[in-house]
Amino acid sequence: MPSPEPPYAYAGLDRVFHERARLGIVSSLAVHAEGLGFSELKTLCGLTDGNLNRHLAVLEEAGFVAIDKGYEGKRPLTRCRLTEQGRARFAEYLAVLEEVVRKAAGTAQPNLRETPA
Amino acid sequence: MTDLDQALAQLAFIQGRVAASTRFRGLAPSAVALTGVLALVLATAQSVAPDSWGASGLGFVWAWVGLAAVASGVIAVEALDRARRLHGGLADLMIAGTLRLLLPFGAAGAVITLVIARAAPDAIWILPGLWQLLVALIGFTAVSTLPPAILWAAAWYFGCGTVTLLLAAQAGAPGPWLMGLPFGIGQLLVAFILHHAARADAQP
Repeated sequence: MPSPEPPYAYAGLDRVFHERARLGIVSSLAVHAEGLGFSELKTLCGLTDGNLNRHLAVLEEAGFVAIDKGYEGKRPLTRCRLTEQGRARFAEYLAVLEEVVRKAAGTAQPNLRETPA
Repeated sequence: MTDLDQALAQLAFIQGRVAASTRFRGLAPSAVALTGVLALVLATAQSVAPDSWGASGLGFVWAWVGLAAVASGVIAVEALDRARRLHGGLADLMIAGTLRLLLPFGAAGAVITLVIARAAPDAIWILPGLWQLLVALIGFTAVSTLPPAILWAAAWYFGCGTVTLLLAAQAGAPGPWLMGLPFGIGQLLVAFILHHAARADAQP
């Protein structure tokens, strides 16, 4: 019989998402069902072309992001969107993150939890 | 509010935004298709044995209300299971969002049906067309949470509702096929659209 998962293991905190730049990319794509253009995404996440390309490649390899290259009129347009798998896994990631914060809130001392005035 | 409470509130906000922009995948094509087949079966039964299956008057209303209840149950049971499997941590938010969308239409349909059946039974002929128009409105409203092609099914129900109102007004009574064909074909069309969208999602 498999042993139960330790309560603080947080296996659902996927490393692919758990990186600041990629978290920004995925969060912004998650609320845009039709996806975002490369330039919009770059502006929203405050990344350089090279950085955004590198992180998108990681997300695409994991199957979480799809990148469609096409044209808008005569202008080339690269559009990025979360795949269904990426969306589902990000939802799981958020649920685990919520669990982490709830446990922290449950164990924190009242005087440590208050925001300093 | 503590920092941790703020963090939880922000997480809830993000989850809500993600849920709002996520397509609801709980509707099972097979369950929706089954409801279409049931509509065709009931219309056939009412045509073949009108006295046994309530082909007119209040019997007609309760037969189709009964079928709607069974169909809703079949779709809902399957949708709850699928939503939990496919939407993971967002399942509850997605289900709540879908219910918020459906319940006003369901309530309006129930009130219209009860009032006409109880207070104006002579106007029963108007119900099939109104039911179809209500389903069309659900389709138009749900376009952001279902595959975009659902607009075709909504347009089908809207067209059928209009034609059904005209035909039923001329006849002064509802007929089995004024329900059977719109809902039979309409539900099969919805099932096809859902199936096609699911296949497209499965492709890399």
